[in-house]
Amino acid sequence: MGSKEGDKRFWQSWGDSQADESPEFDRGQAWHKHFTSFLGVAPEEHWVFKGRRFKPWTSRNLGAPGLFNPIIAMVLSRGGGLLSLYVLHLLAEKPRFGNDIMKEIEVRTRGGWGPNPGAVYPLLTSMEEREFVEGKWEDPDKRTRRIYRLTTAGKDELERLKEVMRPKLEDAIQILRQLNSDLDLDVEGGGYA
Amino acid sequence: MLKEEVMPKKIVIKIRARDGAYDFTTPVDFGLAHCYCCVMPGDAPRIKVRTTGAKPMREVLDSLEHMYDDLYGGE
Repeated sequence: MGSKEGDKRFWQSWGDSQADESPEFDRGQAWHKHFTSFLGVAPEEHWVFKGRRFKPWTSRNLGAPGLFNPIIAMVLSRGGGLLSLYVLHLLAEKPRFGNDIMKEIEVRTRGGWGPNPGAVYPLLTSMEEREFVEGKWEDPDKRTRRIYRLTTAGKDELERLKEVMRPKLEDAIQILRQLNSDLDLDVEGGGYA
Repeated sequence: MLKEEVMPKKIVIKIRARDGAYDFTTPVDFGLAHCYCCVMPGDAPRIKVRTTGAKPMREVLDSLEHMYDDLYGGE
């Protein structure tokens, strides 16, 4: 599960910046600048990361935003940014409508993750407002199914999100493997530790 | 399994990671939180909770691995 060289730009350069140990170095301010420089918008205004669940990335007062893993946080508390990334990815494959997206996610996660309409449709509307996707009614008269197609801006955003989330997803998988291993041992031992 | 009435609404979860520890304070609303966490109500001794959360956690892991392969497998 190795990272592609290009995927190291965001996190590698953030890590490099941490070498500054001067007392004047403001980590929160540096993160804000780094994030804004790469994604083109401040973390507290970013369409995926502005929510309260990403507080370690949006607050300038927290010490180590790079350590925060939104996917682990999502797994532990629901929500998070993986849905946005994955919906963009599915739309990069081919145009789809909302129900198709929900079913496809359920199939690909073998039933492990079935997003609900209350999450997917507002997300698609938000993406359309940001011109990451273009929506058209399959039948303008009936207006029953709206087909969404990824735009060039959406493709660029997908690549940026993939780069930001890749090491976090890798980390999440490794941590879950470790937890899984620990739990198997616990089963052997039985009871509470 | 801890009975529902003794489960605190907020817990602190510490997860070991390659490069340190992740600390979360989160509502207990997911099986994983039940299965691998340190519950510290006041000064009571740490209790490792292990319940049926192992199965949903394995399913989450499986799902994440599939999604990772789907997103990055061709690169």
